[in-house]
Amino acid sequence: MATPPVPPVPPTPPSPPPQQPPLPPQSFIPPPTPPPVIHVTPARRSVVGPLILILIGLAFLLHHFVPYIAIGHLFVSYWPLLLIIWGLVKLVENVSARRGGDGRHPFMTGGEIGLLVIFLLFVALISVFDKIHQRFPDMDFGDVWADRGSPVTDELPARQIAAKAPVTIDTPRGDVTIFADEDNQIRVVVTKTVRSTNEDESRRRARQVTISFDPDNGGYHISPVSPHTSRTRVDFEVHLPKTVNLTIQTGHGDIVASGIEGQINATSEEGSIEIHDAKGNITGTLKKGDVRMTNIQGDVHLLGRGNDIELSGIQGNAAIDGDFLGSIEVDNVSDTTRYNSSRTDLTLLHLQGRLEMDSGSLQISDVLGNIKLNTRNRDVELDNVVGRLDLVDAHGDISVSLKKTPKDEINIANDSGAVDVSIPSSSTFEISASSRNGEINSDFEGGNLSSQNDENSSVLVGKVGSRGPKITITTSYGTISLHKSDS
Amino acid sequence: MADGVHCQCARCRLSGLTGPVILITLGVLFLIGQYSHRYAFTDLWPILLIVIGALKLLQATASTEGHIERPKQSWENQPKS
Repeated sequence: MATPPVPPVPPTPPSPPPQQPPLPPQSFIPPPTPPPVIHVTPARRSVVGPLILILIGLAFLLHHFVPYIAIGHLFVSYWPLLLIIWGLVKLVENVSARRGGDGRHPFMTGGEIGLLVIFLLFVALISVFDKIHQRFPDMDFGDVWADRGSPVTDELPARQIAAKAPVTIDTPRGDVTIFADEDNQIRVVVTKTVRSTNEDESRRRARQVTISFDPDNGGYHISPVSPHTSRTRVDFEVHLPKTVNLTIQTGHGDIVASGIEGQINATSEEGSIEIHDAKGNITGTLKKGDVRMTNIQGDVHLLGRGNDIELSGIQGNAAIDGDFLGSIEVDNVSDTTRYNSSRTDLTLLHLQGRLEMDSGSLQISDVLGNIKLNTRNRDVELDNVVGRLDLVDAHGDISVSLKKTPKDEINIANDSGAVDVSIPSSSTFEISASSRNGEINSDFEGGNLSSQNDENSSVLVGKVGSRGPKITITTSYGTISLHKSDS
Repeated sequence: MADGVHCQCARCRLSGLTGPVILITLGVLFLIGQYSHRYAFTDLWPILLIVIGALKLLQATASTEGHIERPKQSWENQPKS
């Protein structure tokens, strides 16, 4: 029997491959191909920018620590020169860079423009500070941030002291006041102030400050001992015999002494010195502050830099070495008066009258001895001077008025300024005056005087009277005028 | 950072020091100002200018051998799918 053929099972159609859902683009991001590594030589950086920054820093530093050089003043006067040098160096760098094939060197990078702006801001700042300082010379910007403190006063037990003993007092921050009202002992009253956040803490810290009041070299040494920080102020009020020799030093404070007959050596780094009625030699050193000294029988020597000076009644020599930018008033100095600064050298003998000087002018009256003056950028006015006069000036006007007939040489050399001289009409002298690009006017006339005025210069030469001292006047771009003073 | 390689040339290394040097200098100056009897910070701050200037000077004169420049990464660089 045959089985019927089984129809072939139709092959199951292959199931379609499961549809892969299309990959959403967000779930698979191929890692970014690292950008190609480029080796380049970056643009050359200029050396000038950093140098300018260093210069500014040095200028500020020097201004504070070496005040003998008037850095702020120099800076304010010469800063355009710095700008010119900057530009020139950049130019040189640019040209050399272009020659070297590095053409991409930009003239002025963003950083340098920023530096230029900062530089100009600094200049503006310094001139503002300068102006504020001129009007308020006592302001100290460091004090703005300080808290207040409560002062604590102590009187130290008195000690015996011999006559003419040396006493040294120093305080980094504080005033020193001396009274010469004891016979043979020394009494110290100390006031301690510690700046702190509250009164109690301030008092507590003040009590912790100890004072060393120890014998030293036949005399005493008085000074505060640690703990001592820049927030501590220690003022001394010292009563002692008038015959002692004093050495006083304060970093930030004033020194006042009166009635002392020994020597005084006073140094105040940021404060004033006032000494009255003294009978010894006085040396004062300052960096910033005023000086007032009256009635001193001895020599006075001032050094350093400061603001105003007032010296009156010095029976001895008065010498000032340094730049004192305020007003200087000196009167009645029996021996030599000397002033030496960066701009002016002045020596004169027997100042019976007064000397007044500020940054642009100098007036002296009633001098019995010789005067030697070398200065510039100053108007000079001399009244009633007797004796030899040697005067050199530039960019200022000179006016000299004699009340007595001259007996000694007079030499006046000016440059770009007028010279005005008044001499008593009865004087006899020999004159030689010349002004380059200027005129000469003279009240004195006569056969023995010959004047020559041409386009570029004027000359007046000759004699008035038969015999007399030689008067020589030279200037340029200014008029020389010779007046008769009691006519 | 997609890759971890920074430029190792002398100038770039010095440039990386700028921040820390400024901080350290400031710290030292404030420290001295706080504990010194003579010097306060208001006296010493120009030293900071000098230090920054010196550092920039060293940078300007440092060699740039092996300098690697990397253009910055940004979303625009991503490949679009």
